[in-house]
Amino acid sequence: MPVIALLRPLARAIDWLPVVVAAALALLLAVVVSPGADLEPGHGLLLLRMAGVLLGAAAAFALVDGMEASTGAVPVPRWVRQWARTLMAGAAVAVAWAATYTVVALRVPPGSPSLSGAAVEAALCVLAGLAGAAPAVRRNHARPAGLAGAAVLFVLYGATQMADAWPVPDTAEWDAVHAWWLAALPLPLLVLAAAHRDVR
Amino acid sequence: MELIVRGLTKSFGRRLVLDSLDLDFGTGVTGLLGRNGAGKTTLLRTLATTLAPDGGQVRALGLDPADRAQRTELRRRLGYLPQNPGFYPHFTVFELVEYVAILKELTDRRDRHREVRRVLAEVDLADRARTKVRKLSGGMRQRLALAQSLLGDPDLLILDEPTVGLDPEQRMRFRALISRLGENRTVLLSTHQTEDVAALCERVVVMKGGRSVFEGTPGELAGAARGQVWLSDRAPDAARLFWRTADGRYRALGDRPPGGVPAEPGVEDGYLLLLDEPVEVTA
Amino acid sequence: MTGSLVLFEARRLLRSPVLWGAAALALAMAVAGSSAWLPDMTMVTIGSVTASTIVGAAVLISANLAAGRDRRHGLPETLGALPGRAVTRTRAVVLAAPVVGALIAAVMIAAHLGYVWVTGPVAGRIDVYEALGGVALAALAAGLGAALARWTPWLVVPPLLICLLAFAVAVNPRGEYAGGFLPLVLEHSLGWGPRPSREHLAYLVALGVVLAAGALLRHGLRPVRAVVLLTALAVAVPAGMAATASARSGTKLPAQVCRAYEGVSYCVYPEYVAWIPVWGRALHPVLSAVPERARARIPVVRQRVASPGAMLETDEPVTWTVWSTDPTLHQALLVGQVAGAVTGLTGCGTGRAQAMVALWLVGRAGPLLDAPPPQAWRPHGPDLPVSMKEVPMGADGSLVVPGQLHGAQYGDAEVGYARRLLERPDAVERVRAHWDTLTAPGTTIKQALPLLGLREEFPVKEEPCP
Repeated sequence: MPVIALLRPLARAIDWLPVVVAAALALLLAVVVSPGADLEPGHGLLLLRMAGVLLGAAAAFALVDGMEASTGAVPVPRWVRQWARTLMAGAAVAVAWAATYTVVALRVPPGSPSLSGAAVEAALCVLAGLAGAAPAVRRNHARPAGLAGAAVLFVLYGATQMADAWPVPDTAEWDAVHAWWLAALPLPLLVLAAAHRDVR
Repeated sequence: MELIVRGLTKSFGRRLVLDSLDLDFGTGVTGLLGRNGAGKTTLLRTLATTLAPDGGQVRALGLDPADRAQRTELRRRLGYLPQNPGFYPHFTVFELVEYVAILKELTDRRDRHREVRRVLAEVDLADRARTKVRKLSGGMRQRLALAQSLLGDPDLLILDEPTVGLDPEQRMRFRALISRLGENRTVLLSTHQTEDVAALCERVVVMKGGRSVFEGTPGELAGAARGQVWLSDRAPDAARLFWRTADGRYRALGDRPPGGVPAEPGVEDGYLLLLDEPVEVTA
Repeated sequence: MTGSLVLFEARRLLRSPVLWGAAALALAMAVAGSSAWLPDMTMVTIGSVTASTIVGAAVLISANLAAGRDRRHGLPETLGALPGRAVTRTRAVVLAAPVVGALIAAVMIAAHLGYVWVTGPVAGRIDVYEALGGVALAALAAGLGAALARWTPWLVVPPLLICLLAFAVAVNPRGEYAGGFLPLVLEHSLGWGPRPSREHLAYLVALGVVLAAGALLRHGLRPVRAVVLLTALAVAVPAGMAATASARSGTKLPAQVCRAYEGVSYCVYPEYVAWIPVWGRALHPVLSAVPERARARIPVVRQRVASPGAMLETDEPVTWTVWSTDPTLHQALLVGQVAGAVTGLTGCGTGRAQAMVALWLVGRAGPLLDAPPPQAWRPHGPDLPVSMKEVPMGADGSLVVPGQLHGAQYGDAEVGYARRLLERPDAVERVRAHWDTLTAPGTTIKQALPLLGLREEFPVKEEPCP
């Protein structure tokens, strides 16, 4: 099966450095913010949100394929390669976010409200970053195309700030707004599906 | 015919790049000549299934690339070298070609490795198999790109400016390889090197403004200039094109200059006259 | 050559759709953010500068791409053989990008401040140094982008750094921890005293020079570059420390000035006089329905620095230094307080005609909501349902008041009869005619109904208020 055989070279072809740097940064902050004291739940929430945006921006670089021009006329379709990249990058940043969450959860005072709802925010951030970069890497095979993910994330972050889409735990908005986040998850997936299509 | 093009049209924005093009390509090597922007790369990308045309039809190896299933089947039998091939610099030469081999559905590891070694030997890179791509020279990278296009022994080979960056020895090796491959398959290459066309193409197509302005053999292209190529001792006034040659005489195309004597035309003369643009070139 | 290259880079950046798109987004965010509040130019300027960080982020990435351009797409080979060296290209970017970034940020901030100023009514004052801080921030971002391009080969670093800076600002919104060294401090309240905007501007400008010099230092340590860097550092560090020390140093609030509007006295801080007509218009439906003599019952309406306890500590109707344009928030609180005061209602209104009339007055000025459930009147947690919205108080949190009458208790019957009264065209005449009876503390709803032409319809709770 070509897909299985593809995974190893594709994993090597992906530029992992952005994900590694972003993951290290998120984990480092989770460890060093308020050293020697409990982490305020508000700060923990901010950290998890920042980790989501960081990892989303970094994951976008995984879609840049320097050999796109040379591999346009092969029988294994482009969407197989791009979805494989998406899944590998998504899995890596999911692990990194989960590790950050674990550190935050261990550091907030006992009895603090659960921050697990932030996972859906992080999932949407990562998917939005990937979906932001996917159309750009379709047209441009150079590395700066990966920045489109960060640009889209920043725009979305600004727009959602205006819409009060970042609630705090233990409020009625927490679950209600996250239901909207969950409902929005298919949108970046649709963008990814459209952008990962074969070039013709 | 292995490759049939009918009414092929393609625009980028308001710029018409292919203008109702009709062409037929059979077994053998066909060279595409034309100025920058004449539509050669767009034609090759369309034939290589990486670009959808706006109109017209293509039939390659009996398959219709507009149909998804037939396009995939065509890609299994197609080798393509793009004008600007990409590389993963941190891959070794072997890894890079193997990666493309996997994408060409060469799933059996042993067969795939044998095929990778074969194409690397074809382009004289077998001894560089373990070298990182970033350490290759420009010419070696071009050969590496050519190697990946040869994977699977394709029935149709589409090469966009394949001789760019090759040294004279490698160019000769390339000519030998392509002429051998052209014995039993269709090879289509674009180039700005008229000597390559003269040396290895059985057929030549000259494109201008998205249209084909000449189809024939290299000899016929050269013959089109017969009676319009001259050598003279003085710079001609009314020639359409002239340049000073290494022996100090002027080679002029067009009307006979004063004191001019007829010269044997070449492919380049025919090509330049076809393009019909007054230029002065001094060698 | 540097001059031509500076102009070339400046022209390219000025034509950048990314920068102008970021400016448009920042302006939209600033307008959306400020449109929810009556314009206090002090806060509007801070909001404008906060939004302008979007321009700063775009400038950072654009300058990074411009400065790092010569390392991509095979350009090193091409450029390597040219007489213009890399340092010239860096110099061109660190000179052009800050100017263009600052210009675009200035356009965005000026457009926002101008828009708010024109739409008015404006209170507070534009802090020019604060506004210039936003301009300097964009210039600083350009220097940072160029320095990153020269010192790190990774394109991911600029967006990661932007996230990191945003986190540092968000986690320290009041600038309590070395806030003078942050790119900006998000929150402010009149009670905190003036912001150290002048010192912070000096810090931002000096830091921008440090970063630009840092970008050039990548091409070698030269005396001029080193001197510029050290001088800028020598300014930046003390300026940041001064900004940190001055922040929230406390201040004596200015003396209030009092103005009368439709017979009601408003005592406000001098920069907020422009809002008095807004409050006056909000109260007009209440005041126009009561007899002239009743207005004398209304105490002075006094402006307070927004804080959650302000209203509950005083019997005077209160306005704040923040004022939402949503009539169901601050305006509803003020109307409820004045309605309670003009009818003489204090404490519990269940079963009393005063509460019914006060609710009728509230209903004349805005939507009359259902009565809160009984548990809402007890000391409540954040998740208890209340019929009044949580009223934001800017940087000082928010206020949740049960019901619409300044916390005075009432029930479904009072709301029901008030709604019936609202439906009657002769309500104003009847209320005015029987005002003294209706607002007497001992008058019950049952006694008031015949006076108002209403019939018994809703069961009135007889139990006393807790």
